[in-house]
Amino acid sequence: MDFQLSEKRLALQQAIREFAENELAPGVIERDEASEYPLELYKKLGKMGYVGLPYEEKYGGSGGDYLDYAIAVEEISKVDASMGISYSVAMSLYGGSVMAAATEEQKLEFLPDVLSGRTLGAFGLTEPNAGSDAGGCVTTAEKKGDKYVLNGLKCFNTNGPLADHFAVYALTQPELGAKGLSCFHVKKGTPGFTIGKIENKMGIRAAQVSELVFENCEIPETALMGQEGQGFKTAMKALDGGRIGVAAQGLGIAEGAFEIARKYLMTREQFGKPIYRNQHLAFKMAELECEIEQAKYMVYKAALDKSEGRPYTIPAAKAKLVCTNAAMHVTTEAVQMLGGNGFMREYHVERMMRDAKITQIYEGTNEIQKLVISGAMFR
Amino acid sequence: MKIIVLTKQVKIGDTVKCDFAGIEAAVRIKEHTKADVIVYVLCEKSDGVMQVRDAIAMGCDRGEVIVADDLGELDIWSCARIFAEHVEPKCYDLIISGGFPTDADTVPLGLLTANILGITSISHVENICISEKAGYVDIDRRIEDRLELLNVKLPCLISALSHPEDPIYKTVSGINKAYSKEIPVLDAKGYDNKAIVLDTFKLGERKRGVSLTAISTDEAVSAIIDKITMQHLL
Amino acid sequence: MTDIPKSGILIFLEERDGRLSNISYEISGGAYRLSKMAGCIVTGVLLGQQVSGAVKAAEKLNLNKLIVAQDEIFKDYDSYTYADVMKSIIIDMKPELVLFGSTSTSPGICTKIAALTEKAFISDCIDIRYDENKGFLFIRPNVSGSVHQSIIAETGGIASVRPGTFAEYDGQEIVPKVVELQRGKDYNCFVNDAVRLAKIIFEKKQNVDITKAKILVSGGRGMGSPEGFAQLRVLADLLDGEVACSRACIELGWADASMQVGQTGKTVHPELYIACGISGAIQHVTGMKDSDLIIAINKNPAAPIFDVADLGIVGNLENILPVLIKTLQEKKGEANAI
Repeated sequence: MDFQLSEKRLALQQAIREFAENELAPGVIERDEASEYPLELYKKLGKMGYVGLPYEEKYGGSGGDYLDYAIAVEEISKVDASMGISYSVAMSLYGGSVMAAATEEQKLEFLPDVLSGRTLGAFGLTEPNAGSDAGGCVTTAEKKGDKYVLNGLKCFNTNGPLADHFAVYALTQPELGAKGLSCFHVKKGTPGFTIGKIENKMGIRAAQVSELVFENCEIPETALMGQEGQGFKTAMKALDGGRIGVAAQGLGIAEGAFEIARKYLMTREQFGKPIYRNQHLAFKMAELECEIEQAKYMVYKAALDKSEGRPYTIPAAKAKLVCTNAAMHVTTEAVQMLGGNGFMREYHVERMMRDAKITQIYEGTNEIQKLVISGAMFR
Repeated sequence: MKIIVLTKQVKIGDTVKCDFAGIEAAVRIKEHTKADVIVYVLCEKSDGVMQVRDAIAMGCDRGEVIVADDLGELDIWSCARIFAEHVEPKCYDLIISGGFPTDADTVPLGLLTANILGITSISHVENICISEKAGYVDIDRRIEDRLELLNVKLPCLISALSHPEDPIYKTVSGINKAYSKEIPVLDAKGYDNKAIVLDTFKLGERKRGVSLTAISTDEAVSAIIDKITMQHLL
Repeated sequence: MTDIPKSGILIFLEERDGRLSNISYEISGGAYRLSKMAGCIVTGVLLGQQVSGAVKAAEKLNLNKLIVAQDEIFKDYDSYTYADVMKSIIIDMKPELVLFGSTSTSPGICTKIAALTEKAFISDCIDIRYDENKGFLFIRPNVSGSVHQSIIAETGGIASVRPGTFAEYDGQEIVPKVVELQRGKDYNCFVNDAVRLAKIIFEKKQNVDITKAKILVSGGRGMGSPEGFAQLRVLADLLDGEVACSRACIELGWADASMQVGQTGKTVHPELYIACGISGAIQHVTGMKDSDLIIAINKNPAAPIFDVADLGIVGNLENILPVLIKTLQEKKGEANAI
C-alpha cells in the first residue's frame, strides 16, 4: 500500500494549486459578496484540460482518473468552494449521469461540450417535495409520439442559470413512483424550459443555484438516457461519484481554513507572544490536523476504489460524511481562533464556514449517508 | 521553427532558483507559430529534471539536463562555454536565454554564449514574433525609457524578459507528455574560470518588519506618521 | 595575477542626447580613485554621433587620456560597432581593467568585447577595491542580493558597475590628452545587417530623476484608477518627495516610464520608500529593496512586499490615503501658522 502520490499526480496537484492561487484567489471575496460566478475562469480551467479530468479523451475528457479529479476539486476548493462545487456538479452529477445511462452515440454527443469546459452541466433531481426522498419526484415526462413532454419544477439546481446541458429526472410511469423515474438530456433554450428563481444563499454564493421550470417542454425521444424506469438507479450512481466530489470539496475547504489559521497563529501576538504558544490553541490545531488527514485518506481511498473498479458506494458515503463534517468543524474553529478578525470578510474563514454548511446537506444529507452506511452494515 | 531554450539554475543552500522567462517566451511563440522547442537546463546533480518536466508541461517539446557538480563555482565564461559546446552541433533558428534575474549573470550568460557561437544577440526582449520577411523575426526590445522595434535575421539569441502579468500554466496534456518519458541527464565538461570567487559573505537580509493588520484607519495613519517622524523625514 | 602591469584602467563614457551620461561621472570618479591606489593611468573612451558637448564635460573628468570618435555610424546604438572599436583600443592599450556603467545596453556590448578579447566579464558590481597583492577585487551581489561575492579575475577583465556605486570626484587634478580616432585609419566601419532598427517608441518623458529623490511615494496596480494614482502626487508633495511606480502602472497608462522602479525600470535607494498597492513581486522589489526605510500599504496580508517592508500596513488605501493626506496637511498648516 503506497500512500505517496506519484510524481505525475504531484505535478498535476501543483499545477492546479498554482492556477487556483493565481487566478481564483483574487476576487473570491468580491464574487461571494456579489454572488457572481467567474465563467471565464471556468473556461480557462477547461482550456488547460483540468475540467474533463476523470473521463476518457474520446469523450472530450483528459484521460485522468477519479483521484486526479478529487485532487483537482480539493485544490480548487481550498481557495474557492463555489468553483469547486460547480465543477463537481458538472463532472460527477451531469457527467456521471451520462456515463451511467447513455449509449455510445449519446455520450459522444452530450459530453464533449461539458468535459472541455466550454459549457457547464447541471443535474435536475431535487424538487420542493423531493429532497432526501428523491423518489418522491412529481415531474412527469409523458411520451407523445416520438417525443417526451416534461412538466414540473426542479429546485436547488447548481449551475442551473449557466449550464447548457442538463441531466433531468422525470416520471415516465408516475404510478410506479421511484421505479418509474427516467433520465433525460435537456438542452438550454429548449422551448418550455426556463430558469426560475435564482437562490440567495448562505454560502457558496458565487455558484449559481436555481429552479428549473418545465411547462410542456418537448424533447426528442433520443434524449432518454438509459431505459425508462432506470432513472433512480442512474441518479444514485451519479450521486455516488458526486459524493466523492463533495467530499473533496469539504476536504479542500477544511485545508484552506486550517492553513489560514496556522499562519495567523504564528503572526498574531497577544500578551507579548504569538498566540500559537498558548497550548490550548496548539493542541486544538494538532487535533484538527489529524481530522483533516483522516478525511483526506478516506476521500482518496474512495476515489481510488472507483478508479480501480472496486465497489465504491459505501466508501463514497463515508468520505462524504467525514470530510464535510471536518469542513464544518475546522472552519468553525478557525473563525474562533482568528477572534474578531475571523468574523471579518477579508480573512476568508467566515466565508469558508458559510460554504462548509451546505456540504453537510447536499448530494445526500449526512443523515442519508449514515442511512446508506448503516443500511449496508445491517443488511 | 527550431527553438532552443537555455537556462541555468542557481542554488542557495538547499533552495534551487529556476528561471522560466525563456521557457515562457518559447511557449508564447508556439501559441502562434509552429515551433519545436527543446530546453537545456544547466544545474547541479539532477535538480534540472523537474524543471525540464515543468517546461514540457507548459508546452515545450522536450529537454535535457546538463549537470555540473561544481556549478556554484563556475564563472560566466565556463557556463557560456558549456552551453556553446552543447548547442553548437545542433540545428536551430532561435536560441532563447532567460532574463529573470536568478543571479547577476543571468542576462550576460546568454549573450556571451551567443558571442562564442558567433551569432547575433539581443537582450531585454519583451516580445518576439516571426517577421513577414522570411528568415527574420520582429523583436520588441525594452530598454529604460524606450521600446525598440527591431527586425533581426535568424539565427539569433534573445534574452527574454519575464511577463509576470501573463502566467503560463501547465496543462494536463502537457503533464502527461512530461511524465511519459525519461529526461536525459548529461555531464558537462569542465572548464577553467577566468574570474574566481574569493569570498562569499551573506549580508544581513532585509528582515520582515512589523505588519499591522486589522487596525483602524486612524491607527494606520498614526503608525505611518510616527515612523516617518522617528526617521526625521518629516 | 600577482604581477600587475601598470597599463591602466579604461573607462567607457556614454553620450546621451548630446551630454555625458550621469553614470560616466560616477565611473570616472571611481576609476580615478582606484588609479591612485594602483598607481596607473585612466583612459576614457567616448564614442558617439554628436559628441562635442559630452567631450567638453569629459575633459573636466580626471582622465590621463581621452579617446574620442565622432561618427554617424554610432548613431543608433549597435553594440557590434562599439564593441569593434573598443576591441581595437584594448588590443592597442592592453588595459588592466575595463569599466562600464551597468545599464540595459551594457551587457550586450560587454559580452561582445569579452568574447572578442577573451577576457573575464564581471557584471553588476557594487564596489571595486584595490589590493596590493590580489589586484582589483570586484564585489557584487549574487542571487537576489543577500549574498555578496568578492571576485578576482585575470588581468584585462571587464566589469560593469551599478549606478550609485562610485561617487563623482570633486575637482580636477589632471587634464586629459585628447586623441581623436579617424574612421578608416584607426577603426573600420562594421556593417551589421543582421539587426535593423525599425522604429523607436519613446515613452513620455518627465524631467524628474527618481534615482535622486530622497523620498519616493510609489504606487502599483492597487491604486485602482488614474484618479487613485493621482493621490500619490499630493502625498509626495506633502513629504517633499517624488512619485514612482511599478511596471503595471506604465502598462495601465497611469504614469510614464521614467517613474518606473524595478527590473526593467530604475534601481532606487531613497531614505523613504512608501509602496502603495504594490504586491512586491521580485521584478519590482529588486529595484527598491535597498531603500533605507520601506513602508508598505496593501490590502492583501500575504503580499510579498511585506517581506521587505520595515512597516507594513494591511489596509484599504481608499480609506487610509485620504486621512493620511489630510493629517499631513493639517500638520503642515500648524507648522506654517507657527
